[in-house]
Amino acid sequence: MKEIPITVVELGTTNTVCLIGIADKNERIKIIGYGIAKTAGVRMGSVINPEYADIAVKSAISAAVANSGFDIDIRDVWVVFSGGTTDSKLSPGSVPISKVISQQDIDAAYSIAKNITLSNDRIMINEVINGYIVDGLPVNHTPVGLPAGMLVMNMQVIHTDNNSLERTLSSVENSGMNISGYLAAGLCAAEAVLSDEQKKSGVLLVNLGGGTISYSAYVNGTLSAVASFGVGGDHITRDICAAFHTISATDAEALKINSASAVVLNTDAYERAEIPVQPSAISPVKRSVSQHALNMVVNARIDETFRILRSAMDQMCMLNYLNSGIVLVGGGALLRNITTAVESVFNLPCQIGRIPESVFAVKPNNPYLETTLATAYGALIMASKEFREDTKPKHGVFSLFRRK
Amino acid sequence: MSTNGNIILIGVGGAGCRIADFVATISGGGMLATAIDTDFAEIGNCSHCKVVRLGENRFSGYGSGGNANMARNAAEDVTEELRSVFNGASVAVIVTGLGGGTGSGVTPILLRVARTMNIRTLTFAILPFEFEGLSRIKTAQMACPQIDEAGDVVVLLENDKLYAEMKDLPVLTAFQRATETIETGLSLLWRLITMSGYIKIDASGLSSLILKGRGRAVFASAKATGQSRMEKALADIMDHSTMGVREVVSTVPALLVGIEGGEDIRLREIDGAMAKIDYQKDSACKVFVGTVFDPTVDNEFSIVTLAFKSWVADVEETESKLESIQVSEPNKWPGAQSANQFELPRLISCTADSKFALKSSKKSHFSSVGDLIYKGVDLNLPAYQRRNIQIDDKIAIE
Repeated sequence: MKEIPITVVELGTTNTVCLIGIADKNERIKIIGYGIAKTAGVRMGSVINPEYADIAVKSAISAAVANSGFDIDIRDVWVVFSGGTTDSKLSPGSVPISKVISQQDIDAAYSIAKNITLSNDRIMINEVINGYIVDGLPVNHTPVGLPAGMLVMNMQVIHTDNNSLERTLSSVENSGMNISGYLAAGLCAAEAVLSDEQKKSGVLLVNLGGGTISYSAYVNGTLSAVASFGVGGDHITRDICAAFHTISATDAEALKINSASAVVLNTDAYERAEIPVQPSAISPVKRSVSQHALNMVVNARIDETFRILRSAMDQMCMLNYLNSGIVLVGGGALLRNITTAVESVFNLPCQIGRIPESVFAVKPNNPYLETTLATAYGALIMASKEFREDTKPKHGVFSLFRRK
Repeated sequence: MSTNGNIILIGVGGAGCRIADFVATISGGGMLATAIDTDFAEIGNCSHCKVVRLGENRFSGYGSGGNANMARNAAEDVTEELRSVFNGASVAVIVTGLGGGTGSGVTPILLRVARTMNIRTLTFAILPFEFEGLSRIKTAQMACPQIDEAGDVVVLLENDKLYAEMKDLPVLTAFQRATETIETGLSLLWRLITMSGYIKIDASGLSSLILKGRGRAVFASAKATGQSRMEKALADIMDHSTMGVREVVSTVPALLVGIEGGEDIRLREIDGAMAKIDYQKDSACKVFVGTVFDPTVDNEFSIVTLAFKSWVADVEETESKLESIQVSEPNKWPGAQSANQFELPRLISCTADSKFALKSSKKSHFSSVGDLIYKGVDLNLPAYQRRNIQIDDKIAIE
């Protein structure tokens, strides 16, 4: 291979994903290898047992290399951070202009915007330049050379809990990798599945992970908010466990994947959902739960979670600007009828976001990967852009933080 | 008739809306009444109430189809609109029919909204007839604990017990009679609160009674005419097969008695009624009396009782205890032993200091992986438990 492969690792609460990609001649990223390993030692996207987390990272990378069919020596990786403590803040940087906007003025505005005060336990993870305002008028391109009196650079600063990020990065480093940079999960997924048209008309992208939910909202083509919180698919599994006392977490997970629905239907009343018999069971006994009860439990969690999201959108006055509705990605997006449940909460159209099948160099055997790998694929795209931007002047759209 | 802006009457669901509209009709526009339903055709008949139509997007105005879960979701969609229903009120009298979707699903949400606004609630919940089927009875049974937890004073009216001796009645007549009895009783209570009388119970008086008498209550009313009308009415109310309060009066800690009559009502009659009640009641029982004189009523004696099954005399002390509990542990209430008894917080307004207002309780040394608290609620606890969804163990798993 002539091209330099880019590797991203997403250390999630239930699964760790590794993607290896290379840019084709059209600068489009192709996935040449993917690896998914079960994660242990991570809760709500935050590492709580580094030993187990290291193993998950190593396993995922090995699996990706094996899947690619190439003998790739992976040394440098980009890390997708999906901790449940991410948030964002708009930070404008304004400078008076004497005559014409120069690169120095842009730099000065950038410095002011970036000089944001965060509490001691927070660290800036990514910054996104959301465009400029020149004499009160929005400008999407870099306005060097424009005659003006005042320049404002709008920067969306994404920040997270520094200890949580540090533990994730340490786990990746302990697996023998060098960290090229790190990215917020909510930001990545949007890059993978949203079109420019959707961003322009307003859209909310929600990544439903195992331990966290991250989102990014776009209004008028610009990133308006990125955040995450520590509720995810694991909560649904735990709720099922609590509701049906005699079933194990494994059974609950199987019920969630195979039988549960995010909405309660009148037809559920007399139906039963069979608990799959585990291969390891000594004396397999067929058991079932009430489909109605199961759906009630799942619906309660889904409905509540999306109401929290709706409330967040409402607080930020974005609810009326999401004309393209809601796009879901991640493992949670595979739950039956989830789009109906989300539509009923938001009263907006909802769809499942997928990466095109053509981005896989080898067609995957599991169609669900198009949704579950969306975040990691978005990270590949962003990492690739940054890789190309390295030789260009600074202050691109995305500015990624690199490991010192 | 005087307008009493501090008390609002709210009907929820088909039965609740019909009763609220009836009471609003006989009050002659002197009251605030609101009807809340998901069935737009049904609610269209409520001409004397302000109307709140729920779930237009979910049900297209055809009702919730008996699905309490969906109806509850529809109510949660518009909690702000539900808040506006209570604007200007200090006491809300809520009438709801349980067993269907809207009454069973929406009432607990409405009560919670009222509680967050510090509005006292007196809820009349009508339980379905047995012949309506196990499904409706179960739905009602599941709604009852939610209403108990979210409401202040709750009165359960059991259709079956009300008409135990009328089993031969046609179904339609049985429904009609049930509604009529409740309507009559409620309008009497309403007149007691809102109309002028020598011994009056106003909004603040009722609010105080509700505050002290939080819990279940028994409601009964009776009316008689002619000679010995007082004795007849009293006998009716005491010995009615199920509304009868003789047993209840002897045990309850507090009792509200309302008496209504025309200009011909005698002091002897009021005195006699109260003496008889006094004879029946426990010596420690507190009795509150209200009288209404309605010049349009002739040769009638009506009596209404509301017997409180629990009573906290020194309510200020209780309130301060609640406050201290909220500060230290906002999610739980005195006596809550397990997550099953978890309920949404009372009187709590959590200020949002971030977009999600999510706060870590920092139980572990990892500051970011503690329990998730959102508006005073721990999201790590099962959502269905916090929403008081009951899972029947007997049928849930086999």
